[in-house]
Formats: sequence, C-alpha cells, structure tokens
Amino acid sequence: MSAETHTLPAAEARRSAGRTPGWRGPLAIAMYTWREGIRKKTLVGFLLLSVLVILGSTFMTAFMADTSVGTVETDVESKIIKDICVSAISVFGILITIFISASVVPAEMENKVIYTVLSKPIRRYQYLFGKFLGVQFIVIANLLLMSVLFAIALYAKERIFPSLLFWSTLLTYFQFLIVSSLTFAVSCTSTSSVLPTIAGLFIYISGNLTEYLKDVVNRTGQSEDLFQTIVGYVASGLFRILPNLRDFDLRTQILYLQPNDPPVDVQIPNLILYGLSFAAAGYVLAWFLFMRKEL
Amino acid sequence: MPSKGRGFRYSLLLVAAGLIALGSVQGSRLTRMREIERFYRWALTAATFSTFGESLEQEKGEGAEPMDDELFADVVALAETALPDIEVGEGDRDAEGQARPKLIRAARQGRDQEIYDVLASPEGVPLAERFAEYAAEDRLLSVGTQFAASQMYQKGSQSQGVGLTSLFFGFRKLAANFLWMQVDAAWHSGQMHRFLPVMHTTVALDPNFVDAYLLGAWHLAYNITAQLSDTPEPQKVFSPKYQRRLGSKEVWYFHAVDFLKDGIRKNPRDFRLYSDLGYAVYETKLLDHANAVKYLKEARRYKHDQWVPRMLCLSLWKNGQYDEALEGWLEYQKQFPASTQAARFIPINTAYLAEAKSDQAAECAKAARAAAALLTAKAADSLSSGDGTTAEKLRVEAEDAEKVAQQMDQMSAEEWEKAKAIYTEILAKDSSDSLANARLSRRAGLEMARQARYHEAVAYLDVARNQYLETESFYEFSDLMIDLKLEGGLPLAVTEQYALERRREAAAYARPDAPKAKRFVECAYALPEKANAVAVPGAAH
Repeated sequence: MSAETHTLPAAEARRSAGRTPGWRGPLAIAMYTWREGIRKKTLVGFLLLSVLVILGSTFMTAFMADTSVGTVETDVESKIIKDICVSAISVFGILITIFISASVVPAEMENKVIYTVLSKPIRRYQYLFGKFLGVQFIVIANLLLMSVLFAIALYAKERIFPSLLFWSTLLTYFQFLIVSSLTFAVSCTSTSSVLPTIAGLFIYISGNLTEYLKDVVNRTGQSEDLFQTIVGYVASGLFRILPNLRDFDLRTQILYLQPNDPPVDVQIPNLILYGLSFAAAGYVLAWFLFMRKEL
Repeated sequence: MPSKGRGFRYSLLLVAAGLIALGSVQGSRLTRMREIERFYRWALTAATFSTFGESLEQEKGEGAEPMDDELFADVVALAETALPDIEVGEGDRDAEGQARPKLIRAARQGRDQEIYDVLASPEGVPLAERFAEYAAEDRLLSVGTQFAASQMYQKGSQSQGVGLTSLFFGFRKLAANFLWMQVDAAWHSGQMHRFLPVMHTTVALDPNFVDAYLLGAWHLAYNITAQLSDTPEPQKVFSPKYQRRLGSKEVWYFHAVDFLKDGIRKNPRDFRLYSDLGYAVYETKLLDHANAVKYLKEARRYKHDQWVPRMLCLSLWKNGQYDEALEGWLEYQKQFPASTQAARFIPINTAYLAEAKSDQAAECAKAARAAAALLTAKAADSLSSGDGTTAEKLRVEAEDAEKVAQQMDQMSAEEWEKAKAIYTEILAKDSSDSLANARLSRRAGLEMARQARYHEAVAYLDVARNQYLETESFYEFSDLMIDLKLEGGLPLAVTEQYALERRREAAAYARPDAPKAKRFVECAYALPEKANAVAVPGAAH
C-alpha cells in the first residue's frame, strides 16, 4: 500500500473542505507553542545558565593579577566580558534553538496532541507554520533577553551603551534561524526529539566547519593524485551547497569594530538574505517531510 | 487525488532545491565579499608598512617564492588609475620628497570606502583572486591568522601547540582569553618557559587582541629585562637583521619590537601599538629616537590619547628635530593652554634650536676658514708659478670664504645669545635646573676648546657631566670630550678608546640610508669628514 493512500484519506479530504484559510490558526498554534516552550524546564535551565555566565563575566577578570601596562589601564576586562557574553549567547542560544526546534513537533506526536489539532479545520502547512513561528518567538525572546543582559554588563563596565549590539543580535538570530529550520525539518521525520536534537547539533557543528572544506579544496588542489582530486571536487561541491555559519562571524566583528575593518553595511543585507534562503529551504523541506507523515 | 498529492510534494522538493540553490549563490557572493574583505585588510596593512619603507617579505624562508611585494605593486598600479585624485597631505611624501602612491595616501587619509570600491570593482577582483590563490599556497609572508586560519597550521604555530579544537565554532577569542589568563598566571609564577609560547598562541588565536600585544611587549621589554644585567659592550653581537649590536637585554627589546610589529600588521590602525613601539620600546629602551619619531608620528595619525603628541615632541627633541618639536609643542599649547609640559618645553626647544643653529654656523665658519686658507695657499702657488690671473681669482675666492666665515661667526654668536638668554631665564626661576646648567656648561667647554684650551675644556666638561648626571647630557658630554681630545691631540682614556672603537664598528655597519642629524644652517663650504664620529642611534651608548 502506498504512502499516499494513507496520508490523504477521504476523511481528511472532507475535513479540509471546512478549513478556514488565513493566519488565525497558525498564530494560535504559535502562541500555544510559545506558552508551552517557555515552560520547558530544559530551556529555563539553559536560560538561567546563560544569565549566570553573562552576569558572571564581570568577575572573570578577577582571576588576573594585572591588566595594566605599567601605569596605563588596558581594555582587557571589557574584551573578556564581550568575549564571554558573545560565546555564552552563541552556546546557550544555539542549545535553546536546537532543543526547542527539535522537540515541538515530535512532542505533540508522542503525546498524541497532534491528532486533536489536525482534526480541527487547519491545514498541515498551517500547523507546521504555526509551530515554526512559535519556535522563532521563543528563540527571539531568549536571544533578546541574553542580549539585554549583555548590554547591561557592558554598560556597567564601559558606561557606553553598545548600540551596535542590535546588529550583532540580528545576525546571530539569522544564524540560529538556519539551524532552527533545518533541525525543524529533521524533527518532522521523527516521533522522538532525540534524533532531531543530535541532528541539530551536527548541523551546527558542520555549518561551522564548512569553512574548512575550502582549505581541503586548496590542499587537495596541490596534488595530482586521482583520489585527492575527487576529494577536492566533493569538498568544493559541499562547500557551495552547505550553509556556512562562519559567514555570520560579522556579528562579532561588528561588536569589536576595529578601525581597520572594511565597510560592513553591504554584507548585512546579504547575510540576512542568505539566512532567509536556507531557512525557507528548511521550512519547505519540513513541509515536504511532514506531508509524507502518516497521521 | 493521490497522484496530485505526489506531484505537489515533488514540487515542494523542487522549491526546496531552488531555495538551497539561491542560498548557495548567496553563499558564493558572501565568500567573494569575505575574500575581498581579506584582500582589503591586507592592502591596508601593506600600505602601512610600505609607508615605513619596510618590505612585506621580511621573513623569507625555504618555501615558494613570496609574492607580497609583486602583488602589492599591482594593487598600487590599479589604485593609481582607479582612485580619484587624493590630495598630498602631511606625511604623504617619501624621504626624497616624492608624493606617495594614491593607495597609500588614501589609506593614510582613511578613505576606506573608496579603496574598498576599487578592490571590489571588476578590475580589482582578479587581484583579489590572485591574493586568495597566493594565500592558499602560503606565498604571502605578510598574511597572518587574521586572514586565514590555515596559517595556524604552519610550522611556527604547530610548535606552539595550537590544536584544531581551539578553532571550533568561532570561539577563538574566548580560547585566547583563557590562554591569556594562563599567560598572566605563568608570568606571576615565574614560568617563563610557558609564558612566551602561550603569549604567542594567544595572539595567533585572536589577532585583534591589542591589549595582549601591549601587555606582552611590556613583559618582554621591561619585566623580563629587569632581571637581566647589562651586557658589556665588547660582548654584544652584531645582528644583521636589526643592524644593531645586541646584548641579552637588547635581544628582548627586539622581541618586543617584533611582537608589536606583528600586532601592527594585524591591527594597522590602532594607535596604542604604534605609541608603545615608538615610546615604550624605541625611545625608552633602545634610545632609537629616529624610529621613535617614526612610530609616534603614525600613532598621532589615528584617534589617540592626549599624551601621544607630548611623547612625539619629546622624541623629536631628542632626535634633534627641534623646529618640529617646537611646532608640536606650540600646537599642543593651543589645544591645552594650561599644559605645564608645553610651558617648559617651548622655551627649551627654542633654546635648543638656537643652540643647534649656533653650533652649525660655527662649523660652517670653520669650514669656510679652512677653505679660505686652502684658496690662499693655492693663490700663492699660482702667483709663484707666474699665473697672475688664476692667483687673483683664487684670492678673491679666499676673501669671499673669509667673509662667509665672519658671517657664520656672527650668526653663531647671535644664536647662542638667544639660547643663553632662555637658559638664564630658566635659571632665574630655578637656579638648580640641571638642563639649563648643563647647556651653559657645554657651551663654556666649547668656548675653551675654541681658544685651544683643550685640557681645561675636557676637565670642565668632565665635572659638568657628573654634576648634571640626571640629565641625558652625560652621554652627550662624554662624546664631546672624546671629540675634543681627538681635536686637541690629547690621550684617550681606556673607556674612551673602547667608545671610539664602538663608534668605528657601528659606522662600518651603518646603513647608507640611516637618518642624519638635522641641519638648520647650510654651509657654503664642505664640512670636514668625521669618519669616527658617525652617529648611529644608541650605538655609542
């Protein structure tokens, strides 16, 4: 028996006739996902840890005996606060993103809530979009909270409001968006959140290592060995197709803003478009995979 | 119905593939932008170093032929045609007075957007591709970890224990911080064997960690050397790389120089690196005033702290550029009218300028008198050989030389009176002012020597140099004593013979383009050669 006869039974066709288009359904699902998400103990735990690390960053320099050159004070303490906060936001932000993206759909399958929801006049893509939107609400809220704490920690140190943090946070979000959408796509094939979580971590790690494929291409290009050449072509192909999360390093660069930095305004819209392309691809893949699901 | 569903699903797959393709295209655009960004950063660094007259290929090894200088020449050629007119500003001329290339002028004037546009233009892209190609082949010696993480796997870095795990997920900066804390701990526990490699790894991981460069250089130039004793001059070894005789302390000073220059290569617009290199190392430790001036001038070009112009003025003064130092102090006083430093150093520099003019005019007078004597002797020879016309011509020339000598004597006296008035005024306020006392004593010694009272002059200067020991006059007086002893044919002490020998050795290694003492008075007649008194910064000290 083919999958199609199961995924589109006559009963579903009858139900779909009474569904309302519009965005109230997805929005309601998004709000529900948001409410459910912020109650998750794992996420709250990650958030608390990130808050502790960000606020604790100001104490890290206490371990250093001397941060001055002779009688001149240096900016080491501010730098360390920035580095720790940026890393904390990256680590805890991506963990929250992966855990929430990986769990929203499988959790509803596991506790059978999805059957109740899909029995309502709502299409699968609307349900999926609502879930995806809810995930993004959670990710954005967490990111904003961490960024605000970061800004406070930095302000307490330097007495200057870090206005460029906005652009850094924006780019961080688009990096998370790529990981989130691809993890979300994987979660649509699974009934448990374990596999999508592992996949999400893998996506994040490999996305950060894409840059090294270029080095592989360069190294293999210096050899005439057939195997090396093939490896080079494969690496080159993967480098072009896979999302390169290191492209978003601009978020850190903006935050430090070295005086020898090139103009960055041209890169920001391109990075946003880049993030949106892969995020949309991830969502459409999720849609495709979810349609195949027997529910 | 099922077939329609299948078709829709496959069309979704196509849409997803299309979106990935769009992302891929966008990714390629971003990759190209980042390559151009690296190229731009490199061009800025290269422009900065060529301003200092330094080659980009300083550390040539056994690898493939480096391409830095050739590629930079092509970038300069492109910028020459593609950049709009760039005005020739302060410091935009080389030693010969020629305007520097447009790219360098644009980089120095902060016209970043225009440089970026040229490098990102269709004409610039082939050069950016060549840059990426050479960098991938490790043929650019001026490329560091700020451009390519692969540079960290090179031989030098491997020995410093940089692991792949440190580079994961873009947390290089955080890893650098933790390493830096290790540097701090290693330093305070006296573990020098750990301190140095970890410090280098720290900046390899985070090339923009300017404070690590500053603190590291401070440890190298000050804290490590504080535990070392001075190397006796004969035991110092000449270093062709630095063109200096190095003892154990000087080796560390130059480690600090190299470390800070590495920082400049990666952060070419951070004033702190230039000012530390110029003042803390070259000026204070190596007594190399010319290089101190060079780097402090560069520090002043960027957004800087208030003390940078002051340090520059001090280095200009010590380097004998009294007119520029005076100009700098006057400018500083305009900005900070309450400055006590400006109030002190404006009269001092005015006096030094007058004194230098007086000394140089005296030298010119001496040269003119020597020329007059020679011409008179030649005229006598011509007359005795019956060539009356030539003899008359030579006699007139000798008279002219004598007139020039008198004018120079008068100028020397007038300029000294100006200087003397200032020193006297300083002493009227504070009779113990060692600087003013030292200058007056120096002049008194020179006056005695002028009257051929060499023994007296040397004895007077010997007393004065010890009396005003807190000033830097000690070395100047010691050198002057040697010169006067040589001039008066007096025997040299053993230490003076050593000092003279060191001068000769240094002169043998002196670069032809080494900076010469600034002249404020041009002599009409050639000055006598002083082969044994070649001034190489710090060499005689």
